Amino acid sequence: MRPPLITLPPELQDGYLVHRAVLARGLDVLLLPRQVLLASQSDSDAGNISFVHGVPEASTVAGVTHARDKRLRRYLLNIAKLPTPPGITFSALGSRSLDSFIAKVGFPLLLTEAIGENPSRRTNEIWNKADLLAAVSQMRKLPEDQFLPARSLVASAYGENILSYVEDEAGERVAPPHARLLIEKIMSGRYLRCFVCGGECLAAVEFEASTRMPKADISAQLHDGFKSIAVRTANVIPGLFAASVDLVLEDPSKVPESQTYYIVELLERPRFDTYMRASPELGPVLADALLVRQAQRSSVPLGEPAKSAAVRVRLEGLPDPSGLLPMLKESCDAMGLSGVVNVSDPVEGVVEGQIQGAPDEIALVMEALASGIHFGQRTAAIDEWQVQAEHQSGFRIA
Amino acid sequence: MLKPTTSVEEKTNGATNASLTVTIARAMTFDQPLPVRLPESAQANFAVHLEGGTGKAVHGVAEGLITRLEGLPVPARLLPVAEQACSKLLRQDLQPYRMGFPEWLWPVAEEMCRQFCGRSISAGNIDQSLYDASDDAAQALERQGYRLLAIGLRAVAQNNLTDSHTRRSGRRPDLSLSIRKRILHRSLAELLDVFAYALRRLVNEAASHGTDNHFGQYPEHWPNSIQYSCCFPEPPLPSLHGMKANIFSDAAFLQFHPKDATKGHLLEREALAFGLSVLRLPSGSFIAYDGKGKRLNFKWSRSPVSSAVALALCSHKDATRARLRRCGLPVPRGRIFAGRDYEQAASYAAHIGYPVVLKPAAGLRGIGVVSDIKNEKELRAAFKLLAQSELGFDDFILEQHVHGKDYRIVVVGTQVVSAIHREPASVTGDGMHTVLDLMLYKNKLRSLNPHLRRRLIHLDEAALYKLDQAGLTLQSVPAKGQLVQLANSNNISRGGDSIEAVDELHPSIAEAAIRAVEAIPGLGFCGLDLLLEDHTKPFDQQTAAFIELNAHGAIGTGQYPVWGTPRNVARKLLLYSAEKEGLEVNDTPAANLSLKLTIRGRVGLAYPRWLNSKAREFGLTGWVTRKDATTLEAVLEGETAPVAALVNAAVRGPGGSVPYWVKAERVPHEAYPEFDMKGLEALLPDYVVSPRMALRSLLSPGVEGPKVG
Repeated sequence: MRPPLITLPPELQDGYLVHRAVLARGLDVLLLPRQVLLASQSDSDAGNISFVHGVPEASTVAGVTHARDKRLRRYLLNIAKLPTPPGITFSALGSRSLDSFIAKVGFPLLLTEAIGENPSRRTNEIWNKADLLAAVSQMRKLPEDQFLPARSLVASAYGENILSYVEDEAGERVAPPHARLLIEKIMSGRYLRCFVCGGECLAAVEFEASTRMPKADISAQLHDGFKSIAVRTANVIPGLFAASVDLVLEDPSKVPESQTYYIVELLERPRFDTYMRASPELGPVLADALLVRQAQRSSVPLGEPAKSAAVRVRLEGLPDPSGLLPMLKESCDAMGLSGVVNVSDPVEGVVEGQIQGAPDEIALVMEALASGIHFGQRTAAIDEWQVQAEHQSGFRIA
Repeated sequence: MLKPTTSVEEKTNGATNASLTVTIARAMTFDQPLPVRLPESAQANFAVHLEGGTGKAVHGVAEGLITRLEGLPVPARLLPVAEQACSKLLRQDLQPYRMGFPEWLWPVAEEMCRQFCGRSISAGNIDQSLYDASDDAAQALERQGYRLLAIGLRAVAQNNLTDSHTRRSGRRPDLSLSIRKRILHRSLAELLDVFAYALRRLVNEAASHGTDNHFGQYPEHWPNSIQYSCCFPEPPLPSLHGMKANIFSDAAFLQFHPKDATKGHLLEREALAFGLSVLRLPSGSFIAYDGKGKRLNFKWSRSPVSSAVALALCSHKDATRARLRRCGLPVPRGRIFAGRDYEQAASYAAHIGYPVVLKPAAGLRGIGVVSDIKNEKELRAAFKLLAQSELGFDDFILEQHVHGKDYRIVVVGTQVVSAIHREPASVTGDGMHTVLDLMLYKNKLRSLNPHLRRRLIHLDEAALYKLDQAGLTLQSVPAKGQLVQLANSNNISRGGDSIEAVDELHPSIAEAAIRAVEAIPGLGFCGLDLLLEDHTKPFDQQTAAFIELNAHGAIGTGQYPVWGTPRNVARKLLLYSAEKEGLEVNDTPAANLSLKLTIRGRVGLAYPRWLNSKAREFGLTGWVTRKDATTLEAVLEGETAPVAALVNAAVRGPGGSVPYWVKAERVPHEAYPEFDMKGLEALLPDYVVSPRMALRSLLSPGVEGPKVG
């Protein structure tokens, strides 16, 4: 595979890998804004399967909503007798509780939003109260894309639209005083992330302690007891078909009952990019496993994975369809994709054609177009219909 | 012909003697002064608006119009002055009051204001006149069953006093202080001061023909902070083809719930009624379970029967349009544009033709939506409105405006359960009241509807835009029957009206709605917005277009329509969810519940007192007791609606408490005689007058005071 010219940010990797798996398995695709992907068999009444940011259709609205509420998550884990680090949620109005909490648990601490993206905005390790208060003030500042729900690359498309804000002394929009934050003690130990799908723990990677970056695939070494704990954790919230569970523990190969461990994260998004950093093959493998399980649940048959694909495409809603074509040709040439495209409707911004090559590259180009990355403009919808490959030499503009 | 009783020259000297009698009369308009001579049938009318609340300074405005100067020889030269004085706004700021104007005191204030109508207030002794008027108000209130127990305490209806209250307080109900004794709550006293001062100024102005320019227009958007308002005579109640607006028996139990609580609460109520247990969590979430391992989780109306994908697709309006179009369903022609790309959008509008609609691509609650834009000039104005909204920098859609009536059709599974016809926020003129008064009055009606009480008509840029389009202002008096629109969209959240029409819905329209829902994978509950010419005619014989699909549409819209027969949308959704997830539920809903609550969190002394108070207020029996430092247990027995409402409220509790969660499980009915605080009786409140007030009552001759407990 040639090195891609297009680089997707981490938040788009899940959707990209699932898109890639769908194309490799011979399904048609309708790609809509914010990585909503509908896949179906050509000329079949088998129905659709769908994903958003790689989150499968079997994950419910209620499930992902509850997973994003860290206070609620903590309560449910505690009710299920699954250990969590000491922590409290608080608002700017109730920050007096911080003093007693700090006195009780000490430092270092981690501050995050109590409701929001998973993983949410968070601080580095906090070692004193002054830094904590500064972090609280900083955390209240709203991210720029808070008010850009239609085009944000970071905000989940199913998230709650929180448009409430107040203005601080500098006139900047900040979260209202009642918005909650979560502070937790950072526990020492080995940091793991496990991918759970359809009631099964499929993989586990370990993070480097100092950098908090994934370093190794430990799926084979992980004790079955911890796999069960990961599955139990995902089941604490009804309606999460796939999830990543983070644990801090002493020894992943030993039985859980013999050691201290904590559940520190429950992510409704797979976060395949983190698994890939530990082992590059893991991302595509896990995405394909996710696709297979969702397809089984939806009774949609899948073909065997293929190394190449040919699709007829329709790109809709482009602001400057003619301007796109040279850039598209340049990227496709560099990535080894062949095909032909032309502008079929300049008023509605439609480009049509055929593209063939590796599913990885086709998916990458389409995801970039749908997200507005690399090409400087964004589609409103992309159709990809699987066709028989034709002899194409290079990529041309008709 | 004016008939003065005293000479105006006395007034000219600046002395406000008891020589000028004025009558508070009609509400006025800023546009032009009303004629001094009124028809015989003119009624006294004025309005009082108060803003602010607890913790904020309270400002008051009294509007009034003096149309008769009785008992005063008014020289001809003064008539224009009197007219000018008549058309002024009377305003005086109340002194900042730490506690604000207590909500429970407003009915008392409103009754006092009602007593002022048509009365003659002696201009030379306004204070006495107003206080005398307040005596009449006190008598009227007592006839309604009110009685003040003591200064600063809650005014309770007589029949709410139970024997146990009397026993605990150690005093008889007749040892009470009432307004008659002129010892008034500070807020009421200050309210009267507002009138008095304003009237004194008006009298002085009329007498001295001053040119004070303090009076004038309302500050911009000030009306949005009006918290209390009354207007006499009251505008007629809104009606629809002779139909009165719906009144809901459970409204009283839901009044203190937050805005979005009705969505989750209604589902939880149905879950409890059908025999499920509930784990109630903060922020509108709960989990219902059958005790056999099956669970349903909800947050507001985010349900387990719809996928996250479906929500993501439906919340982007262009994605929805793209999908429905591909499935052969009618949608308006349009496309999406990057934020602020107005020039390309304007070109596109010229290409597809007007009228058009402009809206954010992933908006909600009608924010930034402008419909029926007829030309480029209006489009440019609409761009400005969009740019000023919270989503002004985000992608937006420009599409053809489809003429038709707006419907919100609710589909659960494969069944249409509700079809609400929505109309934009509006008021209907009666030739007498201003737009502001009509708006405030309609909001009073809306505040009685559990779903609409926090979805009031709001004076925002869109409302001002619509008024401007109609050539009106807030102070205009619309003609009788004139419809004045106050919003750009039909959203209920923007003050829109709702009329239930599902019984008349043509079957082909229902089928089309179901097809639209089935076009979205994983969508089990949906509120579709559909434009139709006539909901009784076949779908394919009229212009129709799907505008948007809402994957967590408000349950309350169908459950609490303003007009028409309400539908139990929550019940349909709960039962469908239970069936889909395999939960066992009872065959019929229970009319009464007996629940054991476990309340965990920071629930100190105030919490059981609060629970005791609320349970009694709701007419429930049972008990509450402390299990340990962070856990309370309680049993609630009573009718389903109030029991469920209190379970929902239990996860919030009184101020200062932080409940983590509340578990509610069915227990056998025990027929408790009342609600008790087991082992916590020492926490019960006692009715005690402060020592300062008790001393004052002792030192004031002729004033009875309560015995200090």
